Amino acid sequence: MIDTSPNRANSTPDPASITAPKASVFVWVFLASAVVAGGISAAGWSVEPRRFAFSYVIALTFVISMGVGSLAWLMILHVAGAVWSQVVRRLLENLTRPLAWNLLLFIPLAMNLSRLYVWADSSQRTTDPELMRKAIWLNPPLFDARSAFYLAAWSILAGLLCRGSTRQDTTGNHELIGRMRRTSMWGLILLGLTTSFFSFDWIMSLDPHWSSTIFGVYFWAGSLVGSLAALILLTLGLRASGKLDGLVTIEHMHELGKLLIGFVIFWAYIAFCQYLLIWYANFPEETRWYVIRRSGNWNELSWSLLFGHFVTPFFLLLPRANKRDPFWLGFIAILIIVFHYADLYWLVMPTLNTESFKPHWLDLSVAASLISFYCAIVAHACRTRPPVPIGDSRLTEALAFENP
Amino acid sequence: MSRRDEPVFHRDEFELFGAVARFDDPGALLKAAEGVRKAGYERFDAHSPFPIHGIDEAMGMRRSRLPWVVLIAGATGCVSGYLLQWYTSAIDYRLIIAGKPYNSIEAWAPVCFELTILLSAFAAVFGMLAWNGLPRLYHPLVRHESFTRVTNDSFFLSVEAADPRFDRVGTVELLMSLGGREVALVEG
Repeated sequence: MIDTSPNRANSTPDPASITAPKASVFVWVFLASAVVAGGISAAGWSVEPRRFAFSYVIALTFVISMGVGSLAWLMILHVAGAVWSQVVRRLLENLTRPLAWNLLLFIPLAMNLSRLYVWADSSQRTTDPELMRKAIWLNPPLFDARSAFYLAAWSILAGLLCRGSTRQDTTGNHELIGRMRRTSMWGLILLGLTTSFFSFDWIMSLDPHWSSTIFGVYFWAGSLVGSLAALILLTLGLRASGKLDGLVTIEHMHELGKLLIGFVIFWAYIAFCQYLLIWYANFPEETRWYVIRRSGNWNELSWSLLFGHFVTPFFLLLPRANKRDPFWLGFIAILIIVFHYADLYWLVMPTLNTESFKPHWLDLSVAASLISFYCAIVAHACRTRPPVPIGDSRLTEALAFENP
Repeated sequence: MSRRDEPVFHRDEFELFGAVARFDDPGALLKAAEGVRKAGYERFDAHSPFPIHGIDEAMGMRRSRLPWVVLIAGATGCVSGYLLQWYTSAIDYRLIIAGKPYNSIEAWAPVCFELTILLSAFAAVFGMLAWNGLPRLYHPLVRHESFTRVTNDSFFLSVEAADPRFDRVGTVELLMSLGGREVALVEG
């Protein structure tokens, strides 16, 4: 590669001089907001336990999908070994840190199983033949054990990759690159399977009479888009505060924008695949799930998903100039995150409000609490380590990346 | 015209492609491209064995208009795919299939999608070829003695005679002043 601009050597910082940003105020602001919203939600739990359970499963699935999506990106990045992506690796690691707390956050959900899932309700489990047939898989003890396994597996995978990366910062050991790549290879297979089964267990089994084999991929696609948007937002935020000067350039943002449009299309493709096959086959037990979502004002949410989760971001991301503009990238990232939440809401909530879309203050307070908690963990992780993997031998080349 | 025995440079009706110069390294080529652009030339090109970062800026190249052509072709594919299915299934030869409406947009989507991709890809590939003047079996520049080194270890800059600022003497002098070696005029 030929260095064409003589001043670039000066604008790229020396990896050894990069330190962690010290701002701790965000951690406390997010934690305070998590505690306040959490208190309100806990009050809601005692007043309207069933609504709380549904709001909680949406919000928890949302933050889990962000963590799992980031973990998937992190491992894809290790396996692919693309040099440019090393500059966002540390930020992805930070986005996976909240996965370690999921086992704790799972407890309120485990206490509400019978309010959420008909298969956990003993009166129905013994009378409905379909549920009796499925009871071998869908029963509370096995559900708890499986969930604990998924959550623990993700926490351990994220922990392994973060630990290796931290060690690389101080030792600069070249072998760690290969070791993290090997972890990612089996990790991706494990993550793919556990995420699919997680979505079957947590979301699809809300309606145990309905099934879709592509559902796991649909959840994956949404997680990948949502977490990529979160990564873009985090990067833009740190850039705006000057913490990434000379580290993450507009060239890297452009690359993230290209990935984003690719996975926006992927999500739409998978969503349409699921819809088309069920629409075409026209089996009553399958179409019922979509009939609920296309009647009442759920239909309006369905249409808004098409436009907010696909059409608008797709056309906004098409021009090269928008992918290189922090304002548009940030706007699209926020739009996608909002619609990723709406997508999960659309998957879960029609089970409770079968007639029509009825927003509730608990949806807001539970989501605010868990998302603030997620942000607090990420903000804390951002200030404990340098924003880029300073021990990685590929870093200097990654910093100088330019789009053709 | 039976003056084939005469040296080409002395012919009056001699068709000129332009002037070409050889450079030893990509840095010199970048500087030369910038010099030629600053002298006001627009029809010139750089030739190199590998892509050079910053050459687009040095030459003052504008972004390709190809994306717009691809967008229009893609939209045409989508709309024509829809119209084809709508006309055949909902107007011309109505059949009830699996109890679905005559105009079932859900079922039209795959064909619209595929035609969007097909026409976009065709527009991208054939548009690229057309604007690059390809396929071309022969290029005047290969008349230059050492131009074949462009695939190996040399870097060339050519200025076309079609450029309004082109001047047989002035352009050659400019290329020489920019450090070009083996500067020559090439027959068209």
